[in-house]
Amino acid sequence: MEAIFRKINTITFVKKILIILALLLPVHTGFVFFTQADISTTALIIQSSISLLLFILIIVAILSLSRYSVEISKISNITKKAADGSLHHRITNIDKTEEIGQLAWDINDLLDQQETFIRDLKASLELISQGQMHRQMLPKGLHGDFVKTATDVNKIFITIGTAHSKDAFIQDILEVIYEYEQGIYLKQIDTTGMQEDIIGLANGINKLGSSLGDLSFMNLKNGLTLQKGSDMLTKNVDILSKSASSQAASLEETAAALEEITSTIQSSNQNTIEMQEYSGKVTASVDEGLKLASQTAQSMDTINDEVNTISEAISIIDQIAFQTNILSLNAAVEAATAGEAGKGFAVVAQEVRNLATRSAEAANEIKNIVTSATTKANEGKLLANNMINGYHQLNTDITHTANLINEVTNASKEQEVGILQINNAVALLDQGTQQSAAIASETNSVAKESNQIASVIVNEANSKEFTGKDTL
Amino acid sequence: MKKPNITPTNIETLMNKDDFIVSKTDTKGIITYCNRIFMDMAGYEENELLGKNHNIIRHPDMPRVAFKLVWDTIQAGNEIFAFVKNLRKDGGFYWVFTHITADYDTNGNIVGYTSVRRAPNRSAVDAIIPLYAQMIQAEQSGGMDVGGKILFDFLDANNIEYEPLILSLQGDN
Repeated sequence: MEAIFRKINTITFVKKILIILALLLPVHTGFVFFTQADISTTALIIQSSISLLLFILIIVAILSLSRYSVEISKISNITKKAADGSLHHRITNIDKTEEIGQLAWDINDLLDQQETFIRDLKASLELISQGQMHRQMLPKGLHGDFVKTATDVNKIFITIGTAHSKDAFIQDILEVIYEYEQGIYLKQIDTTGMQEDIIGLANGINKLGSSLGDLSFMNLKNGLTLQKGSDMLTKNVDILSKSASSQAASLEETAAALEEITSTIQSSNQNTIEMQEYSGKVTASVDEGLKLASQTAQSMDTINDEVNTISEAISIIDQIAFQTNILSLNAAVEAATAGEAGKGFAVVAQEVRNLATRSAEAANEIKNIVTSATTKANEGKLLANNMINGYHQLNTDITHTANLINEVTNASKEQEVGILQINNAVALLDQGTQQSAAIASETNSVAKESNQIASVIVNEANSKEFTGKDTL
Repeated sequence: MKKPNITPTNIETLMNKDDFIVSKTDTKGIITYCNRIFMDMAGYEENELLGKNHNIIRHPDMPRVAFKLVWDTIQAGNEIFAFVKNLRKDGGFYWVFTHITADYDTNGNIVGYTSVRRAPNRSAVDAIIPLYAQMIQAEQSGGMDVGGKILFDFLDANNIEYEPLILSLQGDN
């Protein structure tokens, strides 16, 4: 019986009974009307009115039940959808003053609570799963278990949020460390809101970043200074190298010139020695000349003496010629006196007189020659005396010249010593210059190496990013 | 559908902290459901609301760009939170902290929107009032974009996004 009851839709069942009643009522009224003709008209009218009233009431009841049934099926439809998980449907246009309306609104309220709770949970879970921690459930307006559950869920969110925030901080730390690895030391970890247990780590990394930044700053600064210094060094070494080369060339020329001067001086020295020798020889020749001139003067005196002797002899010859002439004249006179016999004698006397004349003439010629010879001898003596004087003067001059030559020789020797000293000095200078050149070359290598090192340091530092980089 | 001409008054109705207003609209903003709290707060009967545009309760003190922001957000399928001043049928007003989400059919299409309005944090409302006033002033001289710029400049200046700002203003009270 119970099973049958359960199977019957109560409202439909009641409605069917009412429909039967409504159909039965006119049949019953007609039956009464036609079977009980003896009933008074008044009673009949009353009976009919009651029947009509009942009929109307039954119809109203049927209509009311139908509306009730429609609203219940509306509610059923919405609750069925909700049961299927589609929570956004609501029951509308229901009179909230009726009991069924009250039920509908209670269901709406329940759906509002459920849907709001579910949507809020879904939305906040979605955001939490995306790592956005600002969104929590909103318990306000929820009731009973909904508000309690929402509050509990929020507690879980806070726990997840804390873990996530720590995770985010660790991500931040890792990002900063990654940047440091790339040589970018600009970032510092923001420790605002950071958990106690990782704040020390973050502060340590921040200090490390600052130190690395400072270090790079110093590296770049020093590198740039070194670069500048080595550039200047290179330039200066270049100048040094060039001047050493030009010095070496000048020294070479100087050495060549000195060699020439040395050989000239040596040759001068040789010449002065030869001059000394020659001056000695000239002195000897002068002495010899002087001697010969003196001898010449003596010879001239001797010639004069001899000429005087000749003059005396000639005077004698002249006297002899005169006396011979006188004699010849006497002989001629004697011959003339003797006549013919004396003719031959006269001729001899004539001849003797010719001879005497000729002797006198010859003596006269000799006398002239002797006089001339005396004059010449005197002139010769004078010349010899002049020569002697000249030789004396020559001797004095030669001595003077020899002295001068000695002085020149001494000066040349001193010059030679001086030149040797200069040569030594030039050799030393040359050594020094070569050393300078060698040092310049070595320094150049060092400067180049320094420059390379500086470039490496600068490039290395430039590849980093740090505070104050642009100020350098 | 022309809005009924209501003259706003300064009478505020406060929301009960334990309640929330629930309303639903179709995709065009036509009201399809409102709970009894809605009717109490707005002062309308159900039959006065169903089939009407939701802007029936829009208050003139609200900047227009706020509603544009709301619509742009929910039409993209995202939830939005906002502090809203609503207009009662009698001209009074009530502040709410609204949360609007989209309703989906079983195929995942948006079929409407649900708004759940809670009692707002009063200090948040106090903070929002001058901002909305500035935005309205800007809108009156330069249009909706200028009003929006006020909001976005405010967010930029405080280095915060819209949703975290609104949620932090509301807090968990």
